[in-house]
Amino acid sequence: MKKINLLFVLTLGLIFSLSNATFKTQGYQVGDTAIDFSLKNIDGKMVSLQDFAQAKGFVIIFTCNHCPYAIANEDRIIALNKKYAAKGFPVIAINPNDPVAYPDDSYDNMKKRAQEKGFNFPYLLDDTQDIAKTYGATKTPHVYLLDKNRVVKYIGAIDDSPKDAKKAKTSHLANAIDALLAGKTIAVSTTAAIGCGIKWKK
Amino acid sequence: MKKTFFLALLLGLLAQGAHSQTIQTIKIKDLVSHLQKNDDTLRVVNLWATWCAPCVKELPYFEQAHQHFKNQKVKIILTAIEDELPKVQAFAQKRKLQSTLLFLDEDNANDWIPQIEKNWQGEIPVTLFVKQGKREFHSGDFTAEELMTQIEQRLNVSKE
Repeated sequence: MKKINLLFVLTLGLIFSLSNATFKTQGYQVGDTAIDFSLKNIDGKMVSLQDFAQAKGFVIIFTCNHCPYAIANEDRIIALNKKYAAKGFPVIAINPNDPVAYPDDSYDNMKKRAQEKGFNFPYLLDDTQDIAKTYGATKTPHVYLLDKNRVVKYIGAIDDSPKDAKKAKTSHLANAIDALLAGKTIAVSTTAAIGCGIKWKK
Repeated sequence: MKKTFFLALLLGLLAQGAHSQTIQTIKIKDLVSHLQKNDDTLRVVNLWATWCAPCVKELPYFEQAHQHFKNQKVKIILTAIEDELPKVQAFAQKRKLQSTLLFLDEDNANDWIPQIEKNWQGEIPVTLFVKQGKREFHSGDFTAEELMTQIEQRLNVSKE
């Protein structure tokens, strides 16, 4: 009897781990309340959402140094922060990648890249990858727009042309922030876009 | 006579090895039809791009699988997405890719991504395993051993 129980548990475990390996569906959906975090910024200081007392919401962007699609969006992220931080929606960039898999995404290289590009927003290291996993981020860049109560309002891409900013027709993220600012319903609250899969630590 | 035969054989091998498969440009409906095939051939559909480092890293494993399962009902389909055809052609030529090569000519990812897998956010690489109308989705890259195991597992199931 005990043997059978053990077999049953093992089988269940196997099924679970297999399905888990094939596809993970954890993470936030629009309407969920996101957790706060305390992650190290490129200046060595820890940053949390609660530090932004005046914020009306947060533009959380999982991004990194190495990914061509993340690089293609750097100027757009800087412009977004320039426009929306003043309106109460600061950008908070988080690098979730394993620096062993991508040496370009190391903490030192984050500092370098931020300086080269003149990042005007915090660029945080998700060293344990726990925040990316909890949010459900799978790629870079991957955006989560939160309101001031940390309720997820939009998940997806910055706009409809991840590679070439000039070809963008619809600014999904900006539209969502504008709608929040105006107290209107967000028309498009999730978008799918191609990006670089986050490399998880083994 | 013998010499000529071996020379011919050698030339033949060289000629075969010197070229990659031709790349077929497709739309999303064509890709979806590959994913809906309802027969006992296992289709391994990998979505990749020349700019994606882990995709490029695992491509040789798919090529190995193509050779390894040549005489079985396995079809490896490498599908380049969000890329430029000349870049993909140059890459395929340089690596002499022998698997089936497709180039997805679509740019509105928000439209076509959910047609492949509704929970897919758009990260690459991803690989789909299709057999008898059943579609399984895998996000992330494989090691050579992992890919072999994934294919063998699905081949063995049908034998039981």
